[in-house]
Amino acid sequence: MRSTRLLMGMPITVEIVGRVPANHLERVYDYFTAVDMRFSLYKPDSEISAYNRGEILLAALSDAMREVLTLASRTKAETKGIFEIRRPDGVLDPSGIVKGWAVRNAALILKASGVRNFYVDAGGDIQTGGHNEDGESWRVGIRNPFNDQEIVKAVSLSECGIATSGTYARGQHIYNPDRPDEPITDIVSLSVIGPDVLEADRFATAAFAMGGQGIYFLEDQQGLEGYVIAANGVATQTSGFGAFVIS
Amino acid sequence: MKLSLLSSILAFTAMSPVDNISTAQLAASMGAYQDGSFIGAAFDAYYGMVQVQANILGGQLVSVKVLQYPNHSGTSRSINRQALPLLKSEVISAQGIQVNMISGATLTSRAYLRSLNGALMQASA
Repeated sequence: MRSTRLLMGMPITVEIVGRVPANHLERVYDYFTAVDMRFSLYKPDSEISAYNRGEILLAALSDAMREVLTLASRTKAETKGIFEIRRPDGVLDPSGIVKGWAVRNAALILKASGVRNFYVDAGGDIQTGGHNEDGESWRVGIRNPFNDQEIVKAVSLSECGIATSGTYARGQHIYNPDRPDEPITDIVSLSVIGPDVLEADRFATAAFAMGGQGIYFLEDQQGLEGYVIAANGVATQTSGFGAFVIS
Repeated sequence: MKLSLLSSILAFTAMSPVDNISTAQLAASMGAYQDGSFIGAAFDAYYGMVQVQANILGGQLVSVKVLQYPNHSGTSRSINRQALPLLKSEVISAQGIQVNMISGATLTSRAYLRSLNGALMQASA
């Protein structure tokens, strides 16, 4: 059973192997809707918008918001300040972490319902559980940043997450906080495989902002593997990435 | 190992065109490694010059030292490291492999540009 809906401004796909009650899917989509209501900067009545306007004090924030802000601080510390959710204009924008966090939580909701074989994909940030309908690990393609009709790599994943950051999707939506005026142009796509999609997402965002050094940063991290594509079409992978590759 | 050294260097000179010389051709002309430190030519990456030194021990490449790197921008500062691990590089190519799903960014570049172009047309109307 697979379905796709547009939520949080992106396609969200959930596939569950085998027949399960339809309310399993509904619960997942309801969760994404609730996350969007709370974290969207495009919604004036979201909690993050109210907090940015100074209408909510830190002490009055929801547990979910605190968890995300804490994760953002932790990621900032783990990336020597590169991961920064405060934009140059002062606005707190946690979207670099909310997507992966929400996908991971959606997967936990499915697991709590007894679903074992599934994936949740929110705009290319993917959490896999168990196996596909052929009884194999899930097969995930990495999109060619220069041709959206192609994949340039296929990896086999089970019980882990993958996330891709790129300049090709929404223009330059990632910037280096040390040089906010300078777009990152030497790398165009960076995919990270992690123990879950939250880890993959937050380190994909941070490593991408590091430019050419990002892949070496990933090489130094336990439990994370990366695949980066430069603007000249040359890809570089961390030493453990090959173990996931389907050839 | 030869291939990964050359690929790494090619990756370092990220923006300089790979010319007409393939990585394999370069590797074939390299011959065996001798112990010592070897300095490569400086290449013009689009953001500045890059030059590295390969350190060989026991016939094996043990480290690459970056001698010259562009240091005038945030992006290029990022490769300011004394020794970088050797990572496998390759020129990307389309894979005809069936997959369950695809990881990439939310929208595609063409879609983005089309949308932006449309918005700009409206903005200039």
